[in-house]
Amino acid sequence: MPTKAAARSSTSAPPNSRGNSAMRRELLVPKLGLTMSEGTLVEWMLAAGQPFKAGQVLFVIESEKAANEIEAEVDGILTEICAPAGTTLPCGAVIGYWDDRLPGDVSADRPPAPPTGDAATPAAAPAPSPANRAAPPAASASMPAASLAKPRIPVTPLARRLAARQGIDLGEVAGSGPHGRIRARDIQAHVNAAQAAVPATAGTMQDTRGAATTSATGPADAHGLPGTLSQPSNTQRVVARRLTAAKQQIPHFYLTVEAEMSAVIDLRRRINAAQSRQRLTLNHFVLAAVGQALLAMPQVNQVWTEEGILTLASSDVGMAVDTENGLWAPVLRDVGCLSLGAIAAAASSLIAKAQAGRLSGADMQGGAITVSNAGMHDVTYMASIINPGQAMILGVGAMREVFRPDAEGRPAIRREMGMVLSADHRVLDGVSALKFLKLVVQGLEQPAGLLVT
Amino acid sequence: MSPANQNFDIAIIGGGPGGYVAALRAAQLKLRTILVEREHLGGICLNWGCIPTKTLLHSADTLRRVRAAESSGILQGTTRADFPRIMQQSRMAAQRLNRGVTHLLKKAGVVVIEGSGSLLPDKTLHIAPPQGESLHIKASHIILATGARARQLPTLPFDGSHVWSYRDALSAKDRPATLLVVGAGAIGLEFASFYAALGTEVTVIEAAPRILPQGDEDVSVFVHEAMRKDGIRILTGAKLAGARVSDGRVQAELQHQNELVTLCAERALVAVGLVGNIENLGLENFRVTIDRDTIAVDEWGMTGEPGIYAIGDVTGTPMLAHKASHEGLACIEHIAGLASGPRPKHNPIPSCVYSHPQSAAVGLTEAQARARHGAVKVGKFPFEANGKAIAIGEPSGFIKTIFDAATGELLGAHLVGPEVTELVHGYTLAAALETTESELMETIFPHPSLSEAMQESVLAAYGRALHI
Repeated sequence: MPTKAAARSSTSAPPNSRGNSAMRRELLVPKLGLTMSEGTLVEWMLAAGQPFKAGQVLFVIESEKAANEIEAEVDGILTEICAPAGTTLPCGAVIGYWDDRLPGDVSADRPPAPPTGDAATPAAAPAPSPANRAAPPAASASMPAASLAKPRIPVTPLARRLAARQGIDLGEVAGSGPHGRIRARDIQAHVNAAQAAVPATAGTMQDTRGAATTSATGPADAHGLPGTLSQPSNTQRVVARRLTAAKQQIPHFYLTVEAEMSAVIDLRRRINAAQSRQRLTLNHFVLAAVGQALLAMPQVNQVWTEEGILTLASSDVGMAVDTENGLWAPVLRDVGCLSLGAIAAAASSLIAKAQAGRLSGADMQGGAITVSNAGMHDVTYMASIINPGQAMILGVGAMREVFRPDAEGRPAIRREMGMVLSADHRVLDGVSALKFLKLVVQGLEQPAGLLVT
Repeated sequence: MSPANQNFDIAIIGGGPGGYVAALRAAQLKLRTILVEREHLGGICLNWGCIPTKTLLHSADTLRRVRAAESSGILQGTTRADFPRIMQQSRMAAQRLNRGVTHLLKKAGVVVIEGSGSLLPDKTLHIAPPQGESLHIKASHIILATGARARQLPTLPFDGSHVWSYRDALSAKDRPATLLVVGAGAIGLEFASFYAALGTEVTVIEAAPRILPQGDEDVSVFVHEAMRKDGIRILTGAKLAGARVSDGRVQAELQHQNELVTLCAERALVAVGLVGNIENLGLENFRVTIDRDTIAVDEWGMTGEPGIYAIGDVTGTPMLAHKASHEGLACIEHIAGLASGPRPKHNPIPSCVYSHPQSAAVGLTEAQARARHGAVKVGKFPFEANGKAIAIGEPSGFIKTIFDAATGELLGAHLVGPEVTELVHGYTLAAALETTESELMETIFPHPSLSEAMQESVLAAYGRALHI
């Protein structure tokens, strides 16, 4: 998991209403950003009953922006998991319980339960109170709370039964019925896909699924094509899910322009020659042009949320950073108000954090737009997928020297940079997006304006 | 403006329950739509099938009830069936609905042209009206909804006077004293039921080992016995060896139980299936695949030729009006871009037979369910134990429900008895919603009603029936 989210889990426990041991605390779905309304539990890093130390990663939660590792603030013991991996819950929902007694204390009077080996099952955790212990393990007191908090998944009775029999989390199944209702055949398709995706040596989950369905399905290599099948990492799964959702749910439209870059090249050469404190790149100019365009047109600095259209207060701009451990989009703050030098400094700092795998959830929150610069890759136009939670992405291509007819019709050399703006049609219409893009182009073609913030 | 000068989004050939329903949906979606019908809007279903036969069978049922009225405490004088008036009533019902469809299409703004449609090699739709000059229409999407017609037996070809198709049986001037019905499917049994109720001596012959050969065997056995009690002679496993019409009578020779049997009747009704109307459409110029006598299509009605679609009976079995309408809607919604990708397979298609006794079915027969699912749970509940059936004096028949033993999936339901054609939709809905036995057991059914037998049948499958 490449990110280390600085965001801490909500270990500050609200007053315990169930009259259990005062040391029993709730683990909640953290709110990792302004637009985050729910999170999906990707993975529990430890099983119920296991002790943890401050700084240890407890679980991985996926917001619409990224997967975040949530660390413990203090030492403790995870007593109960009530939301299995794969569950999507609103911010603030209870996902488990922990106990702030030191692991040493715990082991003195009661050894932690051995890991069950399957974090998805609510483990028969060492319950701190006799009342809890008396409850049936599968329906312990915290389970109803967790299931109540779950968004209702539309599913037919038969599909629900098949999923329960085969231990399939309905949250992972795509429904093909009306309004996304999960039907029996979707469960079968999910099982088939899982069998195709997981190598034959997979763990117990796969074995039980296989056993339950051997009569109904074919061999594991369902595709029957030559090749090697590998299982995506959790990060790859998260990225795949987020990008698929973004491309499916955001109505993208695309505007393509070329900016004449001679003036920027000239200005950049002169600035870099005149000082050595901060070396500027063309991308810094693009970021500055985008930031200033956002300030000039606050009406495009908007994102679509479930609650409504959110107009952002500051001219934040995301920046795509390609690293060895994946593509990240940290956000520069208030770019429209920053000098080119300050933009360069902030960008360098975020790039360094991204390369070191130290970006926090907060680093990636906010912004209505991301700049994705592929200029170094010799591509002319790049139409990108909007980052979930944002409304625009500007794909920047390489600069080309081309001949264009001048005013007299004679060939004149121009240095053109292709840019494609992908925009969310729920928030922007063609005219406002085009005006915005024209402002960016104008900023680059008359870059002296970028010097004044 | 003349239709010839317009460009249409949708042109539909055939105004039956597939074509006219598709046209209504297309108009709803603001697609410019033209419908070409060579004879009657509403097609066979409305004019020569479902509707007029139901009118006749209602007359037969009424007669049966009047005759049984004494048991309900009603005493009356002589009862007489007026055959011409019964037939006239049937035609009136068809005409009324035909006018209704005409009105609906007009209201929706569908352009309706009377004539025979066919495709020219450049996909222009050529329409030959009964009189006057032919018309040429351009449309982006052409839907073939030409339906099907009665299959002809080479040994007993239709002649319109002695050897009947269903159409002749619906428009007979006089009731024959004796009738030979060839084929014991839905059409054959419904006419056998009707004519027998009015006093005709009816013999039904069926090549398969049992009547209603597509349905559940228990239902076949029950209906066979009930019809036999109604005075209908039924010969199963009987193959027509030869036939001729002489002296105004039909003489048929059959192979039945290794014997040659000769039957004689005033009229013969041949009801041995249907063939798709694929001729004279100009399909030979296109990549439209013909599979025997029907058009091969995908789940959206697409043929192999872009822009040419087919729906309903012309695309094959089951040849049922409700299936045609459903396919018409799917096809239009696909063309309109409202639905795409692999279409969910058909929800189960119910089938109904309106003979006396009525029968209805949805899903797999018990034999099919056992073959495909292995362990099944089967419950059967007789109407003899249903309060409402006793109250209305028809405590006869049963409901059978079949579940997958492992999952509780509803696999099939087979009903025979009073008004079961009005009950089967409960199972159709349950199957479409993928309910299991548990929801059907927990649903509250009204009392007293025939539908209680449905729930009891579900309970019986799990050994929990209460009223037996």
